[in-house]
Amino acid sequence: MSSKIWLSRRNVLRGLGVSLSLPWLESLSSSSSKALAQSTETPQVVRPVKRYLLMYMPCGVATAFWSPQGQGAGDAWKLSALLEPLMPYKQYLQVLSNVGQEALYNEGTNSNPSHSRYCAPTFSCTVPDTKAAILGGPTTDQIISAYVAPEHTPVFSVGLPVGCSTMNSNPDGRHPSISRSISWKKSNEPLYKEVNPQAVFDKLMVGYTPAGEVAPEAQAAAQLVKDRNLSVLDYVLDEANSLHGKLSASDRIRFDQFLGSVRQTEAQARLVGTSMPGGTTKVYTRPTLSAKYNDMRRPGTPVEGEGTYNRNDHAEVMNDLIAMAFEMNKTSVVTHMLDDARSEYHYNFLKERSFTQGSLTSVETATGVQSADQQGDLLGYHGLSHAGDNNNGFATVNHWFVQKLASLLGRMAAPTQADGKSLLDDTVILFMSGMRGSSHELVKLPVVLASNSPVFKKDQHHVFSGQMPLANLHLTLLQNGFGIDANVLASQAMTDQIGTVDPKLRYGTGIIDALLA
Amino acid sequence: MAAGCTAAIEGPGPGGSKPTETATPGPGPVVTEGIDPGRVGIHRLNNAEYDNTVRELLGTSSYPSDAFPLRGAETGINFDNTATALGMLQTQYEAYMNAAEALMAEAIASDAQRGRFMTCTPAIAGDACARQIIGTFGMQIYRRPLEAAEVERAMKVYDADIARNQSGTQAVGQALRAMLSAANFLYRIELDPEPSSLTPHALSSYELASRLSYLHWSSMPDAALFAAAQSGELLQPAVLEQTVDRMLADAKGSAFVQNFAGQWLNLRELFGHSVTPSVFPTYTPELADAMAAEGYQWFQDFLTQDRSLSEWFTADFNYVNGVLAQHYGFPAPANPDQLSKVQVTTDRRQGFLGLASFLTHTSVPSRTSPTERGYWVLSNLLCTTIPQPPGKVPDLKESASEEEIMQPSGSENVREQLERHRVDPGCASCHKILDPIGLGLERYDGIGRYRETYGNGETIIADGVLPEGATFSGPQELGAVLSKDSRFTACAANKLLTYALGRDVEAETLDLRTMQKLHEKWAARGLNLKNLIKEVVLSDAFRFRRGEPE
Repeated sequence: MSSKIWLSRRNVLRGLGVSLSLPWLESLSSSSSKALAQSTETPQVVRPVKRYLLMYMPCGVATAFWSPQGQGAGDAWKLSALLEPLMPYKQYLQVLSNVGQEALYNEGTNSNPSHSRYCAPTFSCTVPDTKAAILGGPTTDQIISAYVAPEHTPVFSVGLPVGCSTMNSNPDGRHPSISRSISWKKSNEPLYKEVNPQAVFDKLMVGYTPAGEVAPEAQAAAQLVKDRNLSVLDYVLDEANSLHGKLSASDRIRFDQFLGSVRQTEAQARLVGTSMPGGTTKVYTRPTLSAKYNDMRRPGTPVEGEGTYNRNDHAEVMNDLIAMAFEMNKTSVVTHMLDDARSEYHYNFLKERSFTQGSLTSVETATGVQSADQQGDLLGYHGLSHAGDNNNGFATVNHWFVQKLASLLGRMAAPTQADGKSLLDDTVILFMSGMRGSSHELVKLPVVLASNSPVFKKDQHHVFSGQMPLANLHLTLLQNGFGIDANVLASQAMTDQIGTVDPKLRYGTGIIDALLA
Repeated sequence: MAAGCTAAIEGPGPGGSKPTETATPGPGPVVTEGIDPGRVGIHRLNNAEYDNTVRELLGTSSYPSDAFPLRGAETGINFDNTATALGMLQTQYEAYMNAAEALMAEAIASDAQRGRFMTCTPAIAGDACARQIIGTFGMQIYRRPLEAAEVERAMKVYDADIARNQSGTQAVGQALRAMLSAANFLYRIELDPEPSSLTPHALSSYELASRLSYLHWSSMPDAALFAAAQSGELLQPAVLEQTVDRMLADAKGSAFVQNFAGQWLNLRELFGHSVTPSVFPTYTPELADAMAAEGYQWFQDFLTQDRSLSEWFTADFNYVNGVLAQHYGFPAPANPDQLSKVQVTTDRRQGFLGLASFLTHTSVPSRTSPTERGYWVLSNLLCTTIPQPPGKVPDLKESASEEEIMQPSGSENVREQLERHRVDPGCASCHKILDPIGLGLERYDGIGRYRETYGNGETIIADGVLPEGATFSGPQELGAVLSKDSRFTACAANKLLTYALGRDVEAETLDLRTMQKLHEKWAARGLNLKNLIKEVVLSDAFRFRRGEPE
């Protein structure tokens, strides 16, 4: 098993140290960030919210312990036992009850629901194709990326999809991208999540440079690496452009993925050694945790996800990286899948909690999460979700997911910004599942909004009378948060919808005034 | 370079039937059967193919794909070499860039690796030596001769590095690195002379060489294949058949077993399969590895012994090491650390359906799932499409009600509960197809051990009636019934063609005639795997392609 270190341009920079802050080599850059910013300047649209984070629980929740007590604002409502970890952050929350998208599914000709088919459709509000990796349109994060990212940063123009998974999860007999990705650029283009914290970190470090004095030799070496990378990319692009015209229609579409990837890589390569907007003086340390999918284990190599691997460490370091990405202004959009849709990961590192219907708290027991069905079977995540809506094992996993939201809010609500603001002041977090619970239903979805933006109400539990279309929630965030007009949306060429879905179901019937301050 | 092996085909388009001949530069014509060959899209090397290719090309011992983000995500519906499922992401491309950089740095630093391409010593801009290396080694990187303009494009990269005061060796490495980062290396691209024409044309001999090498080795062509492509001999059917024999005999042929059988028979899934330790305390990683290894050996035995697939469900042999022998209740083998072939006739275990690998990965963690076993056999061995459940019935494996019904609770056993389940007309339509096969295998538990009673002492009844009317009692009779089912060999042919082409086979529509012809010729020749591979390789679908409408 090889453990050699790749001599990438990133490693060259890494070799110079991990603490960094000051811009350097600025004079060497022909296309500095300022020039880039100017070239993309567009008529100013008001975007009260700057950042968008999706956190996704794929299998619904133990519904018996989810719903908050009471409704309305402030003291009129209380967090449920599952939401209890959010107590310190209740002032930023809006919990939405009775949101669903059943109407949309009734529109589809083939509406057989499943875990995998809820992932992207939760954020694209479309009816997916059953077999092909086609989900009918971009997800909300990609719509926001397309509008907002060019104004902020060219680095992650497609956002940053991350997740916590290492198991070779069951793809439900469909293309695995469907159960393992919530971020889709187009109906046929999943943006796979990165589960390896080190890879996410390295990506964030592109363009940042070590603090303090940099020796001239090191500068020259870094410049040489950059020049040679660009020379390679020139060759690749030149060849690709000459190939493009020789391909047939469907191959050209797939080849465009390649061309787009190379162009993005080139844009990033040009940024190496330049300063970035919104730089921070904070020192970041490369995570020691490296996690991967274990699908192709060669005999004799260790199984990822066993031994020293700890899912809680994985989730916490992903939270660090999400906060870091926002702090560095490297992206406006992050999507975070807390697990795969058909994961059978055993959360036996968690102590099982005991929940009681009606109680607003739960009690940690002495034993690990290991049983839920009547036979005492050890069930994985997906199996637990089917063991009833009131089983402690599943509720314990849900509770842990909520803890991860809380720990991220802890990072994002702190006044870490140069102007004394917090990241949460201009971020909206949508924490939810695309299914209700063990029943696979598309109604009464668990939905939590967290933000400290003045645009939104705070400390609210909304119980909508009649089903509130999920699309209306998306529409409200897009339109009132990010200034993306619904009519523009509907007419965009990027909305490559399939089937015969009523656009009103897809784009919503109207914004939800109740959410707005 | 004498590249022009592309043969233009005159004659009928799709649906035409007149056999057509065409001139080729090599000896012997390329004959089409007049069947629409369909087309395969541009094919990004998957992770296994990438690793094997750079190891073959540069002599590295690394596995660069360990650092690729698409690890774990590049599985098609059938196989992970399905061209249309192999997309590209920016992060994946960046990983390719990094890998090419690291691979060339390693190659230049190693005398042994450098010797593969550094056949002269380049020093100055425009050096003829650099041009020669780019032409000859570039041919291996792109798996075909380079056009003059392509050599000049790479020379520009070389010259730019010389201008940056890099050594001639470094500059050549930089040019080769550019090629390793390029579409012509990362993708297998078969160009159509007229991309929008539906008229089939023969693949070039180099394109055919790549199809052969990625089918057999999941890797690039070797020197002998390149030579046969250059002379054009590869286009001859007799040479193609000899090539199949040679490639299967080569040590690299194990890639075919690993990647084709590993996916067709779901042997890879055992790595991710988990069981309930309290129910199956003897299930260990060593046992799971032995089960998977037996599955590979079983397939390999059919391949190398020219065993007819008509024996698939009845052949009475196993491959066991110490732990697997104990698991099956066999005598301990002489060498417990190594798999050896054994025949035990008293074990009530025969054929593929008796393999612990199959019986385990089709079970749920704590028990068998007859429905799951039946579903797997029907969809993977008989290529039968299971009708969609009516209305909004949840997925097969996910229904809460099914989970409940599978619990051996009260006095009902699994069979009785499933029978009750089938009374519901909504469920019956599928379950009367799915359940009999699985119930016939109930005498093997959730990790494939033979048993005659359930835990509560009740005798297991393994009788059944298949939807087609055949009756059986017990797994051996079930195997005998299935071995007469022509759907199995048709399905094996479908799976192999799918894998060989890297595209989904549409057996009912586009590929109907291809499949009919393939099955016919294979049956006439003898139903072993080598004959199947040869007939696939000789088929129009493998040797020809066409464009598509704009």
